[in-house]
Amino acid sequence: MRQLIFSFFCILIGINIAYCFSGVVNAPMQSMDTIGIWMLKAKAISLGPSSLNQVLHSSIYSYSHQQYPLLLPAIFALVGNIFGHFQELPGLLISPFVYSAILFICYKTLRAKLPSLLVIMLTYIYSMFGPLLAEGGRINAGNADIYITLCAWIIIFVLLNWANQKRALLIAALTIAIASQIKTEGVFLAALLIFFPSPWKKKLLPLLLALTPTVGWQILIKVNSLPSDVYLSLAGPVTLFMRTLTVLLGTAKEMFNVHNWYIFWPWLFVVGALTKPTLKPSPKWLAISLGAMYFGFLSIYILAPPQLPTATYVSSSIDRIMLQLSPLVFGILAEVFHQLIVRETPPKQTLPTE
Amino acid sequence: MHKFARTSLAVLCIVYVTILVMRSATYALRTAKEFIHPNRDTYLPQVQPCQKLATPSPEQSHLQNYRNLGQPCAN
Repeated sequence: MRQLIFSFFCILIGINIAYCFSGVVNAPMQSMDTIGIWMLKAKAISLGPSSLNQVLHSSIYSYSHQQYPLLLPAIFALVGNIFGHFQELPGLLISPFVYSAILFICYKTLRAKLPSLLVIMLTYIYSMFGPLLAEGGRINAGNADIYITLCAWIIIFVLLNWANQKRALLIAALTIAIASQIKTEGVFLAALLIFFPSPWKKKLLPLLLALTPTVGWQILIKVNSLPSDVYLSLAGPVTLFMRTLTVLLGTAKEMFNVHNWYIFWPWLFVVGALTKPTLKPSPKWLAISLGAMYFGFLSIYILAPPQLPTATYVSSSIDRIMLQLSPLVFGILAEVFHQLIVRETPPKQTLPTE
Repeated sequence: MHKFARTSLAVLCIVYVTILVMRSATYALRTAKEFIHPNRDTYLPQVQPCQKLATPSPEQSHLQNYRNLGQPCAN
């Protein structure tokens, strides 16, 4: 019976993967972010330095966030030119593969702590998240957030499962470095390394390695005078308070967005409420990292320039932010279920030896 | 964990997964339909490279900029 249920969930996950591939093949480029930012720069890279220079400096393309790092467009350009001339489809087809990789790493991460049947169910629940399916190939293929989500999963996998090995910190640092070059906010993943329970002596060098590309890119922005459409502006305390409230309410509202998350967040709160009295708050570092990353995003929202109304900014992006934070939530969830199972399972009785 | 809490959690999990399985069924049908009758409908506005638009929407403008890139009219 267990094998049958396991196979059933595998089939359901397979359907979702096929659904993503079908989305990319049938309606390849539908997202305005893909057209306006990522694929635009990929096309410019393919056309050569003068086109890239034009896209990165001309005010016509100011909507494309000219200060964003170029790693993802470079990958799209590389893959897009595989048949000799630039095409969008090969780059967009990476998204369903990333979606599949995320589900695989999700399964492997949770499997280290939980029984296979529970893990496959949680992986299936994760695979049904609307923003993940969208970026996996349904409408939003080619967006960057799914790549940062993959990086977050890799970091959590290595830090949870290879915690005692030297390579864990190094792989985590390299992954943060890559995430920071996909989208600037990828650097927030450094919180996982900062709060990971390991001596600072061991963490310092990996942390420097993780942050170096961000510093390097910021220097390149200055040297090349790349225009930036995003800057931070400090408002008065009342405005900041109101904006904070707007962000928190926007996040809470998104948690009840059934279209995107079904009943995941309410379900999570019920799980928390039912299990809290019996559990110790662990692993603390994941919860603190989650809080720190959320605080980072909150800061961007509340310090945004006044021409960008907070409510509009939040409603247009909070689902993608929650997708980026979801691997941390699942890491905590795995620990909660692990504690429950350990507590509920009676210790095996050993037979007395004669 | 208390028996009531454990039962509530199990019921909630079953309800949640049932909702998802029903949704997956629609995904399976849609994928099969797309496989049999490929649907190339697009949500994007129809814009040709170098086409002159009087008052383009942001979407039209972004799409046109993308299509124009590398064309003589991009300069």
